[in-house]
Amino acid sequence: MNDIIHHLFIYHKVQLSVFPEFISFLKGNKKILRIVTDDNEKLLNNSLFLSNNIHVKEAKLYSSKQKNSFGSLVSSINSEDSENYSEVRMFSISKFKDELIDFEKAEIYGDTEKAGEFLGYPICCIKNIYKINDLKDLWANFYLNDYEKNKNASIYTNRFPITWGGVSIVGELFPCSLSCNNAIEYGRNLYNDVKSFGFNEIHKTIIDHAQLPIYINPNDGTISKFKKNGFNPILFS
Amino acid sequence: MKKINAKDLLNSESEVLERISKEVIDSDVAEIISGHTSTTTGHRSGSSHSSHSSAMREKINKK
Repeated sequence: MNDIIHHLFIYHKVQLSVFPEFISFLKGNKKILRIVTDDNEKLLNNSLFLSNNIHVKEAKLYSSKQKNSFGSLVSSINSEDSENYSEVRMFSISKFKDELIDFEKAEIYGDTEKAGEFLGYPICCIKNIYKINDLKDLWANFYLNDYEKNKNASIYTNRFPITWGGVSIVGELFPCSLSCNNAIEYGRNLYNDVKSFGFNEIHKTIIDHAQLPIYINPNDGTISKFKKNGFNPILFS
Repeated sequence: MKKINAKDLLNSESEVLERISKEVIDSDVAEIISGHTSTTTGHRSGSSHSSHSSAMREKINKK
């Protein structure tokens, strides 16, 4: 399996936050893995996955170019929109071919709830995703407001390392709250799966990344792990 | 899926760590373009597709 890790995370440079999800997938605790990459040059080695009895499907999509690590995915664009979108590829990975087909269909044709269920996300977080989507490039303000309201943020819900190239302990999940118990359980399970295989240094790194405070500017939704005067940090514990 | 050999799996740890050490950004996120490191968005589109997340690449402004 280390050849698959190399293929995904070194050759394809799949974002590091997929790593805990991939390990959880190997552990059997996550049935579908979804990866989106804008590197359209390198081919995915399907035979490598098949030799490990893992099925992969590939779909071409487009992502809008927006701020604050926000991008909308669409399955097709008009020619006049081409400057505002990048072509990306979505890889869906599963042990079961039928599940993979159903998942990809749900993702591409916009059945967000079904896709979220395939990804193993908590129902409350799946149902909440629309609120975050509606904020577009101000999406981080959702979590700023949540933190101001609840005064609590679990490290197991901290997805912000994604925005600065770190490893997100909660993978790609958008928690419905930084204190959501279901999201905490989801993140803790991913973390424990990484730990259970003996990735001792990586699991320490994941915790280090999850503990870093985040500063969000509510005016423009920018996100920083550096201290910003005038802005209160979100502190994860 | 084949039975997982944990020892074999752990052979990948050092190269993943090396990548983390190279790519963790000492700068602020600015906007998405092609190139540089990747991140996640996963937001609903206005048209035919929605998603919980997606990986994109970002332009990084040095602090």
